[in-house]
Amino acid sequence: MRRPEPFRRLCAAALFLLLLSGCARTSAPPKITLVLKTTVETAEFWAQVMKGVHAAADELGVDLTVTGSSSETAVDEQIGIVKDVIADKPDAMILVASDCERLASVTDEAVAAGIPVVTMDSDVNSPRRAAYVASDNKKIGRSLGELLGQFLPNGGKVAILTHSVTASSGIDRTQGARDVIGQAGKYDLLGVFNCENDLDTARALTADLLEKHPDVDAILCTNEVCNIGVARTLTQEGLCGRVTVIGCDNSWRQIQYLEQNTIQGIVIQRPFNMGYLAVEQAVKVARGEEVDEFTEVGCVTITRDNMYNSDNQKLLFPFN
Amino acid sequence: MRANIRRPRANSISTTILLAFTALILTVILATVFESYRNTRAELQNNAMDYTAQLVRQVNADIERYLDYIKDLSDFIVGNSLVTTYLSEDDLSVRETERDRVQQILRDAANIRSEIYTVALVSSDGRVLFGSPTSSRNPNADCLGAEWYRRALASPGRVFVSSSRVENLIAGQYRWVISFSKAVIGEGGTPVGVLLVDLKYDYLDEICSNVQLGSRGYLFLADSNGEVLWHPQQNLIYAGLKSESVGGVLAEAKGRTTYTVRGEEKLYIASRSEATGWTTVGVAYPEELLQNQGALVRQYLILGLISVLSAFGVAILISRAITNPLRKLTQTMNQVEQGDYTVRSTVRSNNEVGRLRDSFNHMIANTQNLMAQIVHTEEQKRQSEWRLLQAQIKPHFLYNTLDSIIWMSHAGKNEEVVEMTSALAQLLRNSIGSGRDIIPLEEEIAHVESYLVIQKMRYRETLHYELDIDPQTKPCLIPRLVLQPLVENAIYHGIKVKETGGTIHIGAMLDDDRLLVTVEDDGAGMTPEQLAHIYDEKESDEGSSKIGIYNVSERLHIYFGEDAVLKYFSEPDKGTTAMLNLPIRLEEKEENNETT
Repeated sequence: MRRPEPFRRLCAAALFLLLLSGCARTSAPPKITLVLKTTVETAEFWAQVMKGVHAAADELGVDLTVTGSSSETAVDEQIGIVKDVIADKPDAMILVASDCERLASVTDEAVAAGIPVVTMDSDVNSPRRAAYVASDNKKIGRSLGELLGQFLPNGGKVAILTHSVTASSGIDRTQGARDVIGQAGKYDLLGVFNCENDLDTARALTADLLEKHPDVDAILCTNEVCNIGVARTLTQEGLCGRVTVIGCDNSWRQIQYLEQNTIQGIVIQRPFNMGYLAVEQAVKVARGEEVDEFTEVGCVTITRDNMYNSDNQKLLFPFN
Repeated sequence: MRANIRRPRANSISTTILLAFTALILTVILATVFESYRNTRAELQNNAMDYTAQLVRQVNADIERYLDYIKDLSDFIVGNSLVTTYLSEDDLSVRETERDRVQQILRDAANIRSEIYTVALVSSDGRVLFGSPTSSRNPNADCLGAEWYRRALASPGRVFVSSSRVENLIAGQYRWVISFSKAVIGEGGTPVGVLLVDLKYDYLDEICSNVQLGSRGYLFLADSNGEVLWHPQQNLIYAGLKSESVGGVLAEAKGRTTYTVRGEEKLYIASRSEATGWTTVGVAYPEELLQNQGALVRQYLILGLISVLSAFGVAILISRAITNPLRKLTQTMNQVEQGDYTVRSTVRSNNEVGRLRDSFNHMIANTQNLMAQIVHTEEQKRQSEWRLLQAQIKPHFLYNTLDSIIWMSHAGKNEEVVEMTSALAQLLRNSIGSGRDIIPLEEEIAHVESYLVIQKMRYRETLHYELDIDPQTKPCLIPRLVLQPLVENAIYHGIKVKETGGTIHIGAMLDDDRLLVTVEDDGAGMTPEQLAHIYDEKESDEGSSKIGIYNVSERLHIYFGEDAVLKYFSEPDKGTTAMLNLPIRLEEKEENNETT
């Protein structure tokens, strides 16, 4: 006997409902590899970056692999590591380039192999990388200059101590600070001194500066090493509070100097956010979504007076 | 036809009933199932929500109890006279002697619980005494300006509970804590200092992170300012990468709010502690609260499916119960339609169908009676027709014969008149005589012979005849006046039209179980066309003889059915042969007599 029509429709409806209820939302976690400058980094900045990276990886369900060279200057080693990563074929790669130019071609290789590349903190000179997540170093430099205006509203003699004249962070921060100082017109720039990211050099340069220009009113520092170097020398010389010191980056040593009023102000990046946003962008890129080419992480200006503000202490003293 | 009856048509009653029932039942069942599913779901969700709320209150109570404990501890220390003395004493030497004992009190208090980070006394002139002798004061920390200090002095007698903050009082250490502070009142009723108890912030982790609200739900704490105090994603929130809708939740008096975040409902259940001003907020995903929602859906689907299927089955049974008797009745009607009036519907039913069956059966019985009557009437009609024909033939022949007799009388042929008159008398006797329709061949032969005698006298030398009758054939029964029309036909169409005249030969013999009677002439014969029309009913241009042949054939069929055969063989100028091939039938009476 042929099945009557209503029976068939009934069966179809029942089947449809069963299918609906059986639907499950599952998707494989994106596989993302993070290539650091070095895996043996001890700076607190990078510890915070990694916290952000892991927070995002947990939040977004990422299958994360972290790799990197044995030292920050081992460029060839990093190139080799990127090639290994290309062979491993992740869904996306986050690269902290140790050299802007020399990692460009291997970045192109990765993109050609179908692995989108997101750069973090330090960019590569390749138009094919999908996105760049970093602080705006010029903006950090300008913030240094603006802080100077806050502490020395009437002008004065200013020196800039930078950690590098080749790395983009050193160049851009110095430039940003110079821009603001130049615009204000009331400051006498004694010079830009390069400590090459070495603490002893920084101390020596500071001592030298104090000797040559005992009337220096302010020293702007482009990173933590410069900052600590200046602060130590000033402490040694007993000149705390006499010379205005404005620095960059966040560490508990700097916080102590801030409390002591050896350092008057710091411009801090948001490393946690950088790590988090880089992973977030990489996930979007891996899924083929459109992303902004540049994501600015932003920076915050901290002074002795506002360092224990509810918001600022959260930035200065990150949770575990 | 039969196959058509079984197949359900689009407009058949059974389909209509089935559709109507299914639609009705489906609607009712689906509505019922859906409604009960919703109710169950809402109830489960309510239960889950109540459970969540209970959990949140529980956590809140735990925290409150713990903070109460810290407050009690603070009250205990603040109430200690040694502490007051230590803080208010101006004499340095006295202070120095008290110092160790006070520190011991503070240390004991700090050691009671591992989650206490530090216990410290701050005098109004800025001196700091830690419970732990190894802790040294951060010279840059401004404790007299700190919020906890000012707030404690502002409301003496009460314990101030801070929000989460970084404690920088101990040199070289920065730690997230919750601070409890209480003013120490001196003898004059004026505050002489503040007791600080710092609780490790991590402790909140211990309390809150263990609470599970489904697999994605979580718990967070907010302070009285609506700031997040503890959150599982604290880093993200403090980094500004995530936000939590704290303000709206705290503003909600009922303590329950629902937000839709990225298309998903989030349920916020808040419980506020009056003592601390903190609010414990449980965040749950209502979808997830129904842990076995899938099972629930399946359960209701299966239930619905079973109900629908059984309802469908019942609908089929009901429609069958209604339409099956009708179908059977239709089958019976079809049989009747095909001519079988003996069938009667045996459908068992006491309802309308039963009455329909009775009426139908009654109607069939009536029809059957009517049909029998019609057959009977038809038979009578045929017989009367034949009698009429018989009556028609007789006068025609009679007049001719009588004319011949008159003519012969005038000619004085007495002998021949006698012969013809006696033959006529014999013929009439035979014709009218018994009145039976079926007679032995012997009688029919005698009849034909009388007829031939008369005709012989009329046609003289042009007509000769011969009889060749097997004696065994004589008792065989044949219809009356069957042979005469054949002989008549032979004379009028064979002999009479041939100038030289001819001979008629009549033969009868048995062949196996058949009686063969032939009437043969050597007259004019017939063309095949004439022969083809010889059995036609009416073609009366040649007189009555042709009607005779049709009539013979008809009557033979009445008596013998299809078993009787009348055949003509003819060739022009050679003659015609009529042959009867009949089954042998004998008179029953005689057989009965013989057997009995």
